[in-house]
Amino acid sequence: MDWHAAPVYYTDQGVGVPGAEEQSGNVSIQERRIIEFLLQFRSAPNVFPYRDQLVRQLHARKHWIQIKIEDVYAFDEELAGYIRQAPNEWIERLEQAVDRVVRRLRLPLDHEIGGVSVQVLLQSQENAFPLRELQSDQLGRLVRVQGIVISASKVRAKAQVVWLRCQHCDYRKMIRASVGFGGFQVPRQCDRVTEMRCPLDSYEVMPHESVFVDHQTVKLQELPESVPTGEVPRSLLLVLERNLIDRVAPGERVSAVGVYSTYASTRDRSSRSVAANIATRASGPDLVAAVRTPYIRVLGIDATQERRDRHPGFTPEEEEAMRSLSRLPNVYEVLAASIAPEIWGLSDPKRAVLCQLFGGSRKTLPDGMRIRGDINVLLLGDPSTAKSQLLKFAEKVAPVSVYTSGKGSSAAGLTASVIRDATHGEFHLEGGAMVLADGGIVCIDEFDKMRLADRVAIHEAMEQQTISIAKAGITTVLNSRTAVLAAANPLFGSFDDTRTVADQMEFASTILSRFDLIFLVRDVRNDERDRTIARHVLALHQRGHSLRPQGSGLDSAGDISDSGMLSLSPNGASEFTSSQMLNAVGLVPIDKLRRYVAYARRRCRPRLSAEAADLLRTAYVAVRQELRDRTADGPTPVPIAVRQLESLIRLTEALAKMRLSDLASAADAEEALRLFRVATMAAAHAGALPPGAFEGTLSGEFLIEVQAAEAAIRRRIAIGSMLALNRLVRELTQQHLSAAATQRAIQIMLGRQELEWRRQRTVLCRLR
Amino acid sequence: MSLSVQRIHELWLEELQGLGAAPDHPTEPVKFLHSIQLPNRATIPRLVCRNGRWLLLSQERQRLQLLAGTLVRIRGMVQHHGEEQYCPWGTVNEYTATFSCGFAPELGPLETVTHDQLASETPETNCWVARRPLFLEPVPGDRFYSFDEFLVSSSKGVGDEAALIDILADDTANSNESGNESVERTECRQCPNATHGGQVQFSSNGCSRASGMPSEATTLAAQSRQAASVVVYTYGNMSEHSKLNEIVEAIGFLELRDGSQLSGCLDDRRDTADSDICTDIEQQLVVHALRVESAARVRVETGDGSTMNQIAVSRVDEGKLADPYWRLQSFLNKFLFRDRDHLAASYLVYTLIGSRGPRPATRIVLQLSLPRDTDSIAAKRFARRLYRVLAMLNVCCQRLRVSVAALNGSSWTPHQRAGEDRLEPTVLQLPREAALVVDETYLESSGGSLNQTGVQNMRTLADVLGSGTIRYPYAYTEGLLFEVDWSIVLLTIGRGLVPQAMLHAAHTIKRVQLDASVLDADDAGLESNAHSLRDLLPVSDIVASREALACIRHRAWPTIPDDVASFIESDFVRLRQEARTRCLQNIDGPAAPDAEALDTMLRLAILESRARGEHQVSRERWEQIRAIEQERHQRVSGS
Repeated sequence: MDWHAAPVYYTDQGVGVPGAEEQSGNVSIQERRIIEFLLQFRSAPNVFPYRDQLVRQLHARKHWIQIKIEDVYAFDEELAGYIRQAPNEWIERLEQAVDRVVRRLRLPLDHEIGGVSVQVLLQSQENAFPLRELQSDQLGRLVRVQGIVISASKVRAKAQVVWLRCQHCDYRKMIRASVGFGGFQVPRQCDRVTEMRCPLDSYEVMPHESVFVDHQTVKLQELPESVPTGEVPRSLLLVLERNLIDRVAPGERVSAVGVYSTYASTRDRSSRSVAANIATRASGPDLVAAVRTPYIRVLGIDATQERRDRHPGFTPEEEEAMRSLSRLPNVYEVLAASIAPEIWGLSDPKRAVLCQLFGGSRKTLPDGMRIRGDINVLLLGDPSTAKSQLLKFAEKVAPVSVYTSGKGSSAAGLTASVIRDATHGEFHLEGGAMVLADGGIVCIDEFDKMRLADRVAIHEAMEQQTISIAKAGITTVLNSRTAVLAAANPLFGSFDDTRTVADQMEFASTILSRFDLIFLVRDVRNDERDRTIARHVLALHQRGHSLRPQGSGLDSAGDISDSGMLSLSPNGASEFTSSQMLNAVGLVPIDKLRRYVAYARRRCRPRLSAEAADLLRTAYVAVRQELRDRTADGPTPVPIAVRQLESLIRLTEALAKMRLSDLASAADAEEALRLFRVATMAAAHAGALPPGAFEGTLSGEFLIEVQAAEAAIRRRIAIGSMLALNRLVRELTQQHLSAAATQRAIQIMLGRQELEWRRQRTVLCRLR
Repeated sequence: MSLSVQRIHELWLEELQGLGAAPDHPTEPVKFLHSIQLPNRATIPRLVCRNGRWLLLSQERQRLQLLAGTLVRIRGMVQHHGEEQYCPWGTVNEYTATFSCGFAPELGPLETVTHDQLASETPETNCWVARRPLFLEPVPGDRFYSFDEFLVSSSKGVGDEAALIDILADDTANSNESGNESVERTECRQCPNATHGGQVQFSSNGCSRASGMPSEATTLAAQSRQAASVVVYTYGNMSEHSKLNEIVEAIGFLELRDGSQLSGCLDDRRDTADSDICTDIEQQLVVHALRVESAARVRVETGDGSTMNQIAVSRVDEGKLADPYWRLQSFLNKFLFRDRDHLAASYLVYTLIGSRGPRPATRIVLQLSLPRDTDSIAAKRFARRLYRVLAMLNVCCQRLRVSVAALNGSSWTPHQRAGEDRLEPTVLQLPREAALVVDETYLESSGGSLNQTGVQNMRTLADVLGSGTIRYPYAYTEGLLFEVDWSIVLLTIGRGLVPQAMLHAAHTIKRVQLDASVLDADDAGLESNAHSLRDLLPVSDIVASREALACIRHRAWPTIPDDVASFIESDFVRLRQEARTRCLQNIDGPAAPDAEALDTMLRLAILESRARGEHQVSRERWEQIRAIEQERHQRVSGS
């Protein structure tokens, strides 16, 4: 039989048969409209979400149903309007209607749910009211608010229906308690009309016959991003009942729909107002003059974000603006120029910090081993070269950051320490800077001032990204997935042109190898550079910002670094949206940069493309070969090993992340290699650079003369002995060494604390 | 008829009845409250905080009894905004209608009338007036109701010398005193045998009395207590412009609540002499405000109803001041540095007029460095003098004593009170344009170790000094960030702990080495002698200097023209060149200026030009600043 062709007729679409009460016309028109909505609303052809949901919930013994206001609006605009205007009244009607629908559906579970009404929970997607904009005109209306739950009370039982019994005549009376914070008033006089009136206060509550519901109060605090600058967050009480209790916990971001209501808190009642309250209650329940505190009687609540999320929610518009920015051909340059724009120069260190902010991809190998994605950077250089300012900037931009000074940091303070509680005598763990900055950056200034033992303590944290504690009976491993940005001065405070870099770095190779990039930042002195710095500082004071993009300053790769920097304005179709991320001078402001970094870190996990991998492999082999060729010159201060290959991969991935790309290209690999060469490789070879390679340093001939004078001084003055300055200069002049070279040599040796002035700077003493 | 809550409700009822004929235009309580005419401000009693307690003083500075319903005025800093509440106005049921404009329901009567008595039109039912509590704290360093008000009356010859003595008393409401220095005696001219201090009560003859009896109590600075906040209810949109940490003046009706909330503020050190004072203030003070205004907009009035020139807190007529810069600098030099240090006085002026400004941080933090061998008592005396002078020039002054005990004691950062949605007031909750003296003269010679609170306090101080920001810890936020615009002076012996501990704040701290001569020997005599103090700081000088500071602070920021910029650029390059040459030839001389030094000199040049009322920075200013910076460096290197 070809039954497909036959017409199919429906007589009962699962809506059941109206009960006798409904048929007799005892149901109000409003209730009928609700019943119609519950039974007839379709989200798709033949999909009746509320009917299905009701059946499903009751089978699961869940006595609640979730109704979207938007669905009600789509089905019956007027009905939705009524619910919005008078939710207290309509929510009762909704629940009555749901009960009727349940009876109408004749579910096999009817007998089990007898007496338990189904709670209606409302859901809404409409714009949330900021807590501080809730006004008295919203009282009694349906509102949607968002915030963080900061406290939740214990669940208590609140009377919903109270049965009273007159102790004198046994008359029974039922009272319905008000919803939310509302209570009930026990009448003083018995209602029964008899010949002999019952005495006053004869009613007693019958708890066993009364009906109670679960009741919980929750405190909601304004979202941090909604708090205007210079204001304290506001909070509001929420009242949850029945099936809504225990749905949220402190720390959760929630969205709640409910009725904006007020209650007379006992705290606010002065004796006078309480008296007024009592006096007026006698004449009618509405005539209460007490001051009222607002709260929300919740009709629906949802957790919106995971707990303690530091960068919650990116709006679609914001995401679009970020994607537009990422599509700019010069996004890398724009972002790099936005790093500490008030600092002139340091173009490559800024780019390194940028890479560090984005970070590479963290990888977990099949055997469970993890390879870090965080990039560690060391800035080693002369004082007054804005290293600290760069660190401060990184601290501001990173999603999680801790700034510390090595001078005041101990191993325990940086890693974790076991603390003994003074009162209880119990031990507990206390996270240091590196544990606290888990998932972000720890900026360590004055890294060279740290004690050696303390510096060694962070080895594990820098490579394995964990901190192991085994002390006082506590053995545990804490995560410290942290990028380290450190700044340090050379051994003698500033770079000594006459010594190799290796001699001036007081770091063991074990710790140096853990830094992906090491920059030597030198205070090079020449007129053109001085002029540029002056112009930059003056521009800041004249206009409030530097109008010129950052150009080559201290780096030797200025041409590459600054390409395209003069055309920062976006172009093309994405001009409008990407410009939302840029300020007037085409830079990304710090708050937007922070959001962009957070977005990229959360959304992107780039991997190397085949070309990029080939490029890095070839380059690594070449670098190793180069180092082998140089072995004759002595060991390099910075070892180049497999770790450095991993560094290159991380840098390449970070560069791809800036474009929000999931694939790191060959161009990314090339830039990573360039950064690696101008930073770590330059540091590794710095000791082998010919004298005078840096502009502004001593010329080659003079340097040789100074070195000769230095050697002569060592020969002339034994350790611990003294010699008059005049005599020393005279003797060296006789050896055909110029006075200038001798003076310079003395100055250098004083700096190294080999020599010391005595007797009012007339006599030199050799210390070592 | 005098204004009372009862009268306000009567007026409201009259207004409603008057509107009966025009029901389409119902009045609003908030507008009605704004329309109420207040009596002359000067005649309204003031709530004044004295020694941690609030007292009510009449226009003649007589102490009045605190009575509920009294119209009062109060000046203080908005320490916290409380949660909103609603008061009903016009509640109607089936039989009766209750008329209230919603104002101060705790104080005002409810007018209940039946429908028969009522005109045919009834007001809208169940209407609410929102009200928001402001928690007002006394302003540190301003022990008067308002120092400006005091100065105005003083300049008219009705000033009270006891009052002057009182402001000269060290304000240590939030500080920890220790040792003998904590005891401070001040003497009243009229009663040489009696000593009064924080508990001085104003009376008609200018001497202190507590309930009619001369107080024998010695003023112990340590006795100063932190006053309980006064809750000021603002109705409708009255508090819209009352920002956190702003100084406001409110006029309203007093309500006294159960004092259980206040009991924690009164300690057991209360002596018998003032026990009778306390009995009537052991209650929570609440003011239902009819007006709340920013203190900067409040006009200072005299008793006869005329309005005096506004001083210090508002724009000053510049034409009346011949040379504000000279006036301010000479005041500081004379009264603080004993006419012996123009350089330090200049830097102090820069600190006072510096601001976050339109450009990045046109401000400096001044470090006044006393010689290393300075006697501890002399240093403390100088610190007190510095504090007093700054307290007289600024709207608010706070002295922060840095010592291991103070650092470890309690948090300096305003933070959320445990378990409450309430900010805990601390020493670093200060209004805009406040002066902060970070005083290291109390550092223990033996040193000590900092606990967690101490470390946190140092971090807060580093942020305040370095970036001019402070973050209030608040639950479930990353901290509430506030930008501070305070004039900060560090007083150290030698290099100081704070500048060395805060490396990244070092660029803002400018150290000026002081000579021992500024700590003259007769300081001790001067300090304890009220007559000398009175002579030393004539009111006219204070008024003029305060005016001068206000005048300079309101001046526009000067710009750097292009030709001067090119000149500075060339000059900077030349200085660097010279330094390089000197270095190569090993000749002693000033170190090469770096970008930071250039930045400092530019800031100072801008501040100097601003102080002089110039619209542009000139070459002369640049050279002048270069010279004084050189002098400063020489002093520091010579120390």
